[in-house]
Amino acid sequence: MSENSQIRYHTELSANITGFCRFLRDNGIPLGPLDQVDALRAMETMPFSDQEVFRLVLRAVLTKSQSDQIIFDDLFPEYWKDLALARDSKVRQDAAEAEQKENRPPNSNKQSQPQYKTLKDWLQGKQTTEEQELAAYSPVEVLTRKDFSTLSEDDLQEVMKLINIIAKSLATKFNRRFKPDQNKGIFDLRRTMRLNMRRGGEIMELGYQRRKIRKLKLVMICDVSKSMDLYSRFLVQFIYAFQSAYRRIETFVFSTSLHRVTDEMQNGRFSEVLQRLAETVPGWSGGTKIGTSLKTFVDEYGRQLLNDRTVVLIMSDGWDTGDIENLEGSMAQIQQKAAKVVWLNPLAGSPKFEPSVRGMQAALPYIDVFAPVHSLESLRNLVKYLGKSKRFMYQSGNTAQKL
Amino acid sequence: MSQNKELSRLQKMLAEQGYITDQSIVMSVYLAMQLGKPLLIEGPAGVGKTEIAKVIATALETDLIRLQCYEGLDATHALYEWNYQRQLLHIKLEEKSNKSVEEKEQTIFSDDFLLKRPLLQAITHDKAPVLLIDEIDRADEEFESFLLEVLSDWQITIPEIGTIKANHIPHVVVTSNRVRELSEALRRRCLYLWIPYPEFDKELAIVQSKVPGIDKRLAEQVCTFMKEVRQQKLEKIPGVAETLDWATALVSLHRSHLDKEIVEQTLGIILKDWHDTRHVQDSLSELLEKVGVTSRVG
Repeated sequence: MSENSQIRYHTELSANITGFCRFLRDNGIPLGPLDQVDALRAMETMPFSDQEVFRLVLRAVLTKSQSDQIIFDDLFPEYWKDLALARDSKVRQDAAEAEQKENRPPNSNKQSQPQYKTLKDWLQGKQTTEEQELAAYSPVEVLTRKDFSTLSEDDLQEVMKLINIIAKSLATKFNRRFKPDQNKGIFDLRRTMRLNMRRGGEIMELGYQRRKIRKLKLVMICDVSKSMDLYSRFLVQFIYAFQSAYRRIETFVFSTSLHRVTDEMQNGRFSEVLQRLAETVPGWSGGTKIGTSLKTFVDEYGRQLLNDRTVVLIMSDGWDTGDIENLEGSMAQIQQKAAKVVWLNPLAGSPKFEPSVRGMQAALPYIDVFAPVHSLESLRNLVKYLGKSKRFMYQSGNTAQKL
Repeated sequence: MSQNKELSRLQKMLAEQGYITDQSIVMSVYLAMQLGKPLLIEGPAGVGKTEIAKVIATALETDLIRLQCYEGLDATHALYEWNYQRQLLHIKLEEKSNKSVEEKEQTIFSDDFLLKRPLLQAITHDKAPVLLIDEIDRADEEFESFLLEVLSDWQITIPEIGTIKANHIPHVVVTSNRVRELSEALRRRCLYLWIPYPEFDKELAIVQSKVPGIDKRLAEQVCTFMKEVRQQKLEKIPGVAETLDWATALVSLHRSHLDKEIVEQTLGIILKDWHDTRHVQDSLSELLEKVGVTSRVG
């Protein structure tokens, strides 16, 4: 009898593990069938002894990142506690249960594990609150949906961390796209021949090829005028994070006139940088003269900064109180000389956004990538757009719901 | 705990090497070896990610082969390269011999002329070694996918020689500092282990085992202080390595407890950033109070 129950226990255990895997999958841990097999194999190497060991085995096998582990730690006690409860009641209701099962509508047959079904029913009532708890658990998730204009001082730390990751992935993407497809340190026959020509073909020296790393230069031009007030602090932070992650960068800010702030942005903490910026840039939160500012950029820096290895990133809402012709002319020049022109508009994130502002309209034909920057979510998407070689225009209509 | 003989044996083995673990680390290491899967370790700097590989190697009495990743690392630096100089020299020496071209070719493309880089070394090793792939996040994504291929097939094809299959599948440890997100595919293939900064008790145990002769009170104070320092908003949060350096320094200065003066003098051991140093100096009295050091001067 005891042997019999032992066997039953084992089969039940593996079924439960399968059920648990599904439970995790439903809750956002992407598990494949192989992971399930691994979990079962892992259990085999270690006979079930106590709950803690069991938990550690599953945790080690089934989680693939730190965020998975946070979810796991939440779900594990939930599942097994309820499962135990379900089993208790199952003993009592065994007969009734069996009867019920036969009467189930066919669509519930999708789940082949009886344990899981019981559990699912059991959990049904709780599921919504559980999701809410999960969301609250991850500060990252909450932040990504928040508009940057409403970020508090405390959140900035978190934002900074995310930006760092994004900036780094952006930086590596950039330098990969344009590097020639040569391997570093590979034997170069042609060069070897040439090197040894003077010795009458006696080969004594070897030539190697090195990969040329052609990193892109990034020029960031940020609008800090009044209309951008809500966002400029974040954007400056974005630039700050970016330049600490990616060295080949030139930064400018403008409201009524253009200022090069590359040196001010470097060295020191963000608060110090802000301080220095405030001291050097007059007219912060003033009017906007994009046209004039961009013209200054093209005239003064265009020759040295604009070439086919430069990506120009303009961050502005496109409200211009200045000269539209200037804007159009400068944009045309920038696009012609630079490898790529990216325009980030914080307002584009709003579902009602139409790029109908006069300045924006004038600039639009000369932009390769036009995208919103109003939340971290949009920044993440930006990484994708930048990687593509095609022209990308963000339209508020089609993706507004997702953002 | 008789069922977990294997586990406690492993934990003991690691402890003998001076590596203090907790259950989740032992479990992951054990399962990685049992299931023959690579172990992916993430965590902040200085919590002993790399150390694990070294300790496993010593515990298993096998060799550690290390592949340090960096930006621009590519297959030739990870796999193999021909020793061109030697090949040329050999051709020169054989010039007068009457061997056929085929024979000559065969010699210069043989094992003797092959420079084995870490991955090939690991595959051709006699006894299953521990292969440490350090800071994978520093290499580019291209390399990561190349690595995936090697880690799944355990064979390497060299056009001139043929396919080399692994004699023994190495125990693989991959570490990452999360500079860049790793690909989902790599994560899938590995067992994942996150090592956080140690809890007070664990850190105390580490200090006591690694710094012999340390005063118990000093060790406790050091660990409490480190715990508090890590709560501060710092650019570079000190890891366990810094704790150990600091404790060692204090012991060599014959200290039996902390006081404000000595902390100020030795702060450079745990903080490596000027801003951090200034920040901690400013709140030093407050910090020390939490540690239980009253700032009696003189």
